[in-house]
Amino acid sequence: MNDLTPDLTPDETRRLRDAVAALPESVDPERDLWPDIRERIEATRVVALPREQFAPHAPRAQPAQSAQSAHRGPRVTWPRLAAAAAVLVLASVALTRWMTEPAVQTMVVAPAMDSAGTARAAVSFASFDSFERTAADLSATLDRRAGQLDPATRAVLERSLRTIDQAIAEAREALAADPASAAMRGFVESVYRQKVDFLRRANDVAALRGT
Amino acid sequence: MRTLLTGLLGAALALSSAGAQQPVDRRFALSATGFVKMYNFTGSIRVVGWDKDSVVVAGTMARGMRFFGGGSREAVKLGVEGEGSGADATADLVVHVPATANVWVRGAATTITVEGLIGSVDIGSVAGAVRITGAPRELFAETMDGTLEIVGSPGVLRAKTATGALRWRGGGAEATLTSVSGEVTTDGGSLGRARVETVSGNVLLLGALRPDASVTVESHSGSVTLRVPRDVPMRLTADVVSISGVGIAGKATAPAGRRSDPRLLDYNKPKPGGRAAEVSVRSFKGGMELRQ
Repeated sequence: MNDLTPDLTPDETRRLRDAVAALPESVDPERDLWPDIRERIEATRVVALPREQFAPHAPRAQPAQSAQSAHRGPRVTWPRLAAAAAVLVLASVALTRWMTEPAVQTMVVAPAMDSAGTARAAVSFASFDSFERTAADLSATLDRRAGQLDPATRAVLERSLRTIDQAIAEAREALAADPASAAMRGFVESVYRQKVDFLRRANDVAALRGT
Repeated sequence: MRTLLTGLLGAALALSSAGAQQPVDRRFALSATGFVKMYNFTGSIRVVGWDKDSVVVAGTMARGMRFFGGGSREAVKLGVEGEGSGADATADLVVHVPATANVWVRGAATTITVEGLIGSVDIGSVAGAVRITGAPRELFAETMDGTLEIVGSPGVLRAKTATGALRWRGGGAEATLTSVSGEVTTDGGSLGRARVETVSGNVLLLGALRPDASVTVESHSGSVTLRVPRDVPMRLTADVVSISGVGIAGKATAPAGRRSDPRLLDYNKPKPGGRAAEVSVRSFKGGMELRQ
């Protein structure tokens, strides 16, 4: 210590030691900074948690309550359930897609466009994947039941499906040329809906003939 | 001599044909609001509503076919099964049911006719024509390749074809009409809330509109013809390739709106505080014609 305070007399050094010893171990800031920090963190979260959990002025839980909470385990809230459900759905979709990948028909997006347009088109067409998957599933089921249909009925179904598929190809081509067009998107969705509905009807007919 | 031989030959053929058929004559008790399920995959079936609490089946079916039927006072199931033999291997049935019963009929190469039912009716054929007359509370009717004709004003209507034409003479509060390549025509009544969808089939809306109507037509390549009401205010939103008859009297052809900017046309100005019937027409490749 003397090395650090070479200019102090022994008496001054003793008084300094006493003063230091009298200081508190920690000093609280003049105002609580944590609420502001928490607020900024919360503002950037994707899933907002209930505000009361982190409310700066909320009364602190009493020790007994804290113990009770600890025994309950993690608190189940709607946002947490929603987040868990979203993860489950995404995982399920990914798994289903992986399992059905070979059956999905890929449409060719022909027109040339800039990279931004290509990106938009890719995003646009991604939303039709669920239609494609449903249609592929229904088509596979129909193929299995096709033997139960008479040739004339099969011809009617095939003719109608060709009409629908041609319409889908035309509408998708138009959407590829104008990916931002909500109207074009509506046309594509409309024909897809009709395809899925038609395949369901065709399956109903085939199932009936198989009974 | 030749006349005599021809007559004998005709008689022999008639006897032979009659011999290839067997009669059907069955009866079932059914409550007025009971359920009836019927199957006949080839031939015809005519369903007639009456004011008795019973089901009566009459007709003929080919040799080799078998009639089945049974159930309770609340539900009866009946039909014809088996392929039969010969070129005329069909079954032709006339079925009387309580008019308020809930009726379900399925056929394949079957012509189906329904008359005088006011309950819930669900009809489906594949290649046969379907004709329904009357005003069922709910009507679901479908045929793939045959013509579907509805004469009357059901409470709720869902009608579908694939290649067959769909014709509706009547009106109603709620209707959905769908076809792939068949032409869809409505006439003879007032439409309320209606939706018409085709892929390549043309659409002709020639009937009237209720003042509170909300009608949507969507087609990929079908053309759309719309009769503009003379007195009911109507706002038309058209997203089509071309429109003719916009001015009605002059039949002038006007350019359609851009895809991103559908054309808005108002007819018959509504009274203050009143509203206009709303019609929305979208066809990717088809044009539109307005008539009066």
